[in-house]
Amino acid sequence: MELIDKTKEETMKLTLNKFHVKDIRFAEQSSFANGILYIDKKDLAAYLMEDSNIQSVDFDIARPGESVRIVPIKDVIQPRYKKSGSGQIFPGYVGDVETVGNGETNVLEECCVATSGKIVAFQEGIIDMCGLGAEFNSFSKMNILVPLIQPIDGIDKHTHEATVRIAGLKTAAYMAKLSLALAPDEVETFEHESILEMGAKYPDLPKVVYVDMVQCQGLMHDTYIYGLNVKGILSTLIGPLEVLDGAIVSGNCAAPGHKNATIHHENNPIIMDLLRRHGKELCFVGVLLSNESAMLKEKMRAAYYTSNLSALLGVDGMIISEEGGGNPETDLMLNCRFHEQRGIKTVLVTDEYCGRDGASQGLADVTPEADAVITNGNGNQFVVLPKMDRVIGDIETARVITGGNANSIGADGTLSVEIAAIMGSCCEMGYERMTTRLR
Amino acid sequence: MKEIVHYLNQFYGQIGGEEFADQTPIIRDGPIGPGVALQSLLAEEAQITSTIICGDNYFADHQDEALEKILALIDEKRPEMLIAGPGFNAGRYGLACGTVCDAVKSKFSIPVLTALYPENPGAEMFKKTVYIVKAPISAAGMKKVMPAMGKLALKLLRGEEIGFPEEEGYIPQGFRINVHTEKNGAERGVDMLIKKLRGEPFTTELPMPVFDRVVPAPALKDLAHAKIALITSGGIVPQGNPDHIESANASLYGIYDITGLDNLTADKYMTVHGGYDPVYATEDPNRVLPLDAMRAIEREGGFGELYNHYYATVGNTTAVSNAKRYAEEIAQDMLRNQIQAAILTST
Amino acid sequence: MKHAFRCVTNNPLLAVQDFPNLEYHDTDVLGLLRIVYQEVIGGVKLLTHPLTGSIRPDITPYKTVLLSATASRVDFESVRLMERALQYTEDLYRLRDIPLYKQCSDEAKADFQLIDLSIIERALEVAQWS
Repeated sequence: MELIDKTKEETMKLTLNKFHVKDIRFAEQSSFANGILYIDKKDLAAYLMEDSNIQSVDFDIARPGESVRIVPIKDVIQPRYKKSGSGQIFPGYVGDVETVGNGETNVLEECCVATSGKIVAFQEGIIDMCGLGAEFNSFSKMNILVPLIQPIDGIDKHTHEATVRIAGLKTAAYMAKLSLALAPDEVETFEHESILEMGAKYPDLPKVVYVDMVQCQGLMHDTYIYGLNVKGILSTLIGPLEVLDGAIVSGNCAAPGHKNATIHHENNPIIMDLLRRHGKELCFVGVLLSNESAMLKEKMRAAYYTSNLSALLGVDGMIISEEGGGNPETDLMLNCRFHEQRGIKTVLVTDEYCGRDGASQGLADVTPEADAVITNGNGNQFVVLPKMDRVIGDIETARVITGGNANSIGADGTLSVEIAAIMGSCCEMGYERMTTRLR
Repeated sequence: MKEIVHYLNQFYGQIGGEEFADQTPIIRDGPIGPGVALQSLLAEEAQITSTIICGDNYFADHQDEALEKILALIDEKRPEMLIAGPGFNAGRYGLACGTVCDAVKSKFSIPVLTALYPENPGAEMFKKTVYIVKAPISAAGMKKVMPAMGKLALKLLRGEEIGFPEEEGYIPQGFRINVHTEKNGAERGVDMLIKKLRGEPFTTELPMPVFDRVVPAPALKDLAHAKIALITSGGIVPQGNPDHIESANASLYGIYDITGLDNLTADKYMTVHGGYDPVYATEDPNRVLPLDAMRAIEREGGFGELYNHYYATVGNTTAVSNAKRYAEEIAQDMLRNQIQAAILTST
Repeated sequence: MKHAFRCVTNNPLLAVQDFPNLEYHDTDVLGLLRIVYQEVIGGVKLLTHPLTGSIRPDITPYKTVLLSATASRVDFESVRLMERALQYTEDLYRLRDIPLYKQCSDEAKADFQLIDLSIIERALEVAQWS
């Protein structure tokens, strides 16, 4: 056999080509020019309906500042498409199962896809484009394309969920692909060496790992890595740049206030910040995926195994984010305890449900080792959202979503809900700018 | 000029010391004692027009009557605000300050304010409903607490928005409120991790509840030969309460001889605990301190020997730090007397 | 190897699906957690976390908890988790005069049942017990 002369590439390099989107409009032909995204509904629909499970699909648009409410929402996805490098965005769905995280990826900023349409009767999530509700997430400042997907009759819920999930990813890819021939408005490049190389390169910097806890408890509660459901996986390592190319996709539809949507994974703010500080204040070793199962024994295994990997990597500290509330707090605390017991310093990133007045105990589980915690807000805060001129989706579902109730929709069209009903309001990756203070 | 009524105990109200702790509520014109210093801080905006003085014991032992009288006095004066204390760490006084403030706020819907040391049982009980300025532990801190009291009093009088505890100086009430921040949670998290790794100070955004994990002592191996003692926080003491253990927020514990006694009789023993209906314990003190049962089992050989003294205090709103100290001292005394186990009764 | 467990639930769908070792109680989630707590303080061990899934216990009407088949020495972790879960649930029930789970449509009820079933099926699948 011939020896192939290969230069070992030790540093992964990913360039994000960023395009600022000013508007989305429907048009005869899809294109992207001068910040305006033109979408040919028929063409996009045909692309999505390559999936025979879709009977029909329509689209709507929501713009920042408009008097529009989108409800219910399944997933929010940022349009990205790879211009160069191996693989393609959302490997396992849009792209084939092939390594991503290098080369150039085009990104549409101030823009997202929000999939809507009932999968279950309590389908969740609101985005308000103006008023009080708009203050609780970043999506209200984005130009949003909403695919309204109608599946074929008799479809089961599992298939329905997968169908809508994949349609959302494809829509996002379709939109970003329109930017391929254009020059970006700005560019940001990330470099990430191999672990052994960075160990030698940054001997004096503290070594830090990010533990990304991912949900996998069943229907409407799943997460996928390169198309694989993370149920039953042992904790594992992944490169941060792979995550930026959509290697992690959300199938999680419960608890809109603090579930991690696909856009949160693509823009993982902890990964972004660690990458930006890598080689300067710290050495960002990588990302560990630790799943959140229902069985207590699985929780123990996941936390022990994650801490084993951290110890194997020889890190000094770890920062960990949670997904959801209730039982995942046990995963969070177990990870904290097992890491701290091995001398690895931890910071936990979470949120709370401490009642309307903020006086209740906010977490379902605690541990004394958790002395460094970031909170992204109290999901139980009640707000009265103003009437919107237009609703995309189905306002009646606001009655049954998290935080709403039968009296939620006032005669004057106002919506009285907990902020837990607002998409991403308390995102536990720390995507938004909110905390809780004690008074 | 806004009018304020000031509530003080017999000591700060300059009636007298402990011997006047039974003083019934009275009212005097103008500010007295700490009220004078407070008045100077309120300057042109408000005036302490009257001072209500009530003895700490009277308030503790006759709360309903005391409150009725105090509320009546305030009803006559109709002030715009009530201020009580500062009570520092004085238990009975702190409870009185908190109770009066809470009652006045409920009845008259006027702003109220007091100042207490955070561990004062009055602070624990009323911080949720009443603004309580964080005071030092004793009157030596009077100069320190006054400015914060004055500032917060003026803000409350003006109806201004009250900020967070760090800015305004009050004991956190226990309500977690959402606020928007400059940095997102991720950046704040990485900042915190860098500080923690460097050994620099940082403040967690979500403190864990206080864990008071006590590792249980190993089980008694030889019950048949063990020397056991009785302790109670149910307030069973010899008739006349020779050590003057208070009915609430006890400042001490007693050790009482029960050599040769088979049970506790109503003529020789009583209860001083102010937190439960005393009828049944008065009839038969063994109901709270089961000496009769212990003697019966001792006679049967169920255990080796009952220690010839018992320990007693009152657990009613007693400060945790004090209770801890009594327990440590009692444990030392038990070790000195070769006691191997104890039965602790409460109510 | 056959794994023994008890399945305590208020979800009628489990009976329809012929779920093994079923103990059905006609109560709400808080009621079911209280029943589980009584078992746990008697020495039965929790196998699943009492607050499975991401749908709040005051929003879903249904919950299933897997318990050890037999009781032995009281498991401190199970007791601790149950106490916290009860407090968490009680606090959420108090958010509104009528908790949300009492206000959902029949269609929503069917979906909540399905999700709870899916969670328990997944739990057994991942434990490699099914």
